Amino acid sequence: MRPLILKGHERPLTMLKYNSEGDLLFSTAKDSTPTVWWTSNGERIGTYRGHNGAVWSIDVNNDSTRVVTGSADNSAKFWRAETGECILTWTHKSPVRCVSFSSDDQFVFVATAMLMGQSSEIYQYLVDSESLEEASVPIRTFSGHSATVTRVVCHPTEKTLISTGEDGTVRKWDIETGRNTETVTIHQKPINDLQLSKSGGQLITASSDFSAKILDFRSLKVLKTFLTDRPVNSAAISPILPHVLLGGGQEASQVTTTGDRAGRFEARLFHLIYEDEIGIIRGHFGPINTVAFSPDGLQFASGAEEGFIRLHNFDEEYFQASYN
Amino acid sequence: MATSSVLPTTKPVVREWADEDDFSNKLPPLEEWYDEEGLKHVVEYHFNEENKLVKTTKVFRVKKETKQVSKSVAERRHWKKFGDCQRAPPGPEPGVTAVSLDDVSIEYKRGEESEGEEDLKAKEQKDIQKMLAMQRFKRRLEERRAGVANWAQLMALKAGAQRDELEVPSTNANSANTGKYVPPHLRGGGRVSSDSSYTRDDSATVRVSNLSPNTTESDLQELFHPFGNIRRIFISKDRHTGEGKGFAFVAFSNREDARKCIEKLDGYGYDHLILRCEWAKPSENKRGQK
Repeated sequence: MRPLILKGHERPLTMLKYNSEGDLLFSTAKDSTPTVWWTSNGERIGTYRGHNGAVWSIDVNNDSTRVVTGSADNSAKFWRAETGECILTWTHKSPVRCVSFSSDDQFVFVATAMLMGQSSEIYQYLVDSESLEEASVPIRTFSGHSATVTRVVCHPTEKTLISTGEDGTVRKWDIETGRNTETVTIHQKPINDLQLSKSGGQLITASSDFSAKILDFRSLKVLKTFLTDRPVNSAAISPILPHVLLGGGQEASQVTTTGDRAGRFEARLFHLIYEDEIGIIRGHFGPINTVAFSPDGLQFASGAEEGFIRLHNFDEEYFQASYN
Repeated sequence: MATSSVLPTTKPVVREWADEDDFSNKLPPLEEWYDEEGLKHVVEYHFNEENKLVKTTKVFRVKKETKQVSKSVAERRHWKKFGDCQRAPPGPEPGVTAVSLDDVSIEYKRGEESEGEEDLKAKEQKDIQKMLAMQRFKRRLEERRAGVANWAQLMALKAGAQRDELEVPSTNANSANTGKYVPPHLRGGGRVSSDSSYTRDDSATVRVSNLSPNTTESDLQELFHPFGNIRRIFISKDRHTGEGKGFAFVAFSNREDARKCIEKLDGYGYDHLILRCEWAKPSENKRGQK
């Protein structure tokens, strides 16, 4: 396969997100401009201008009309996806680490970092309403985190929310009451990424402790563990094959001390059931910060520390090969 | 949807001095046409750094692919560009989107056959070593049970020899009487018996230091065997990491060989380090303390 290289960002990538149909790819980086791309040809459609710092997170609603972004400039912004017009800005007291739509697009969850003397909180905003005043104040706050929240994911059908922290914990919250119903510590180091499986039944975590784990959404039980020899920055589950994609690499601060071979900057495919490594896909020359499968499973995107996004369309061979 | 493959050819056009005024500010218009083979030709003009007019002819093979998409996706195809690329023409921007020059493929984790073979060999060797160690241990147990000093005596006993005929060390008999275990090296009143297989003759052993941590036994075998028959090689390794500590002992059968070896290899450059070879210090004291 000949990947498309998207060079719109000048700083390390932080998050990639496909919309629900898979024709758009949203990307954020440590420069201040979230960007949207066509996934078919890698064409840049537009950038969302307005942030003043690194953008940590992005999410898009189900019909791809609204986008929410969270930035280290202490703000989260709500955008019109098609025009790049900012509808609303929520200002917080510390950097925003993660933003997420609820599964019904009614709410937006904004998680702030534990920095500058502030505790880490998740704020819930109602964005479905007509009046902006109503949308600009949080209707609920989920507090009680012991470390910065890194990812927030909403269950597709139930009223539950899952958050992961830099202390390796996974917490389950009741959206209706705002209560923390369950907490499990499954990693020794920060959890960097949390993604849902296509069915929504499982979650995959990626941690700096060199492993990725698959959890059952309901029970938060660890079902599978994938071990590597480098910090894992991002993990995704293929929607059509029993495969898991891990992106990682040695920490950015140590990259200059070694060559790219030693850095292990490749994306790694693992078998979901057998937990075995299937293969690797090389190409990046910095640690991969984020990976995502397209919803049809025919493509995946990876974004790395060097500021490039690579869009890979899988070859026919990939779907025909057997790994048993 | 159209995908294009680009085959650009650049041909600078040398201008006549008389044309200078005509083209100094404005560029000739862009030309596009399809030839009879269905190839699309695009001719563009621009000024290069030396302010010379450059004509670029690009030939595209246009392939139309029809893909069925949902209504909302089809509607989104009409989105206009916004933000930083608002003014960019339709289509991928040249500096932003690129097709990877090299073909990337999934490197499947195959070749396990060869790896497996190596693993098997190593495993086999380990198994043999384990088996031998087990055998030695069993022999020692049997020796102790029979109250003899070594295997040969035990064999002789089995062959029908009388116990009195054998030179059973008296201490051994004592230990059997008291029922207390006495370590082999302490049998005989703590003196180191010369006939015991537990003592090592260190007189022909060379201590090699300043080795690189990843030196293996076979490396040393290769390096030292020209000097004579080697009885054993011991590389000191860290117990936890398994990494070499940087020194090793090489025991020769012959003291003369060891001397030659020290003469030649002391100060020898090996694996970018300078080796140091000396006589191994006898470690009798240490053993005596145990």
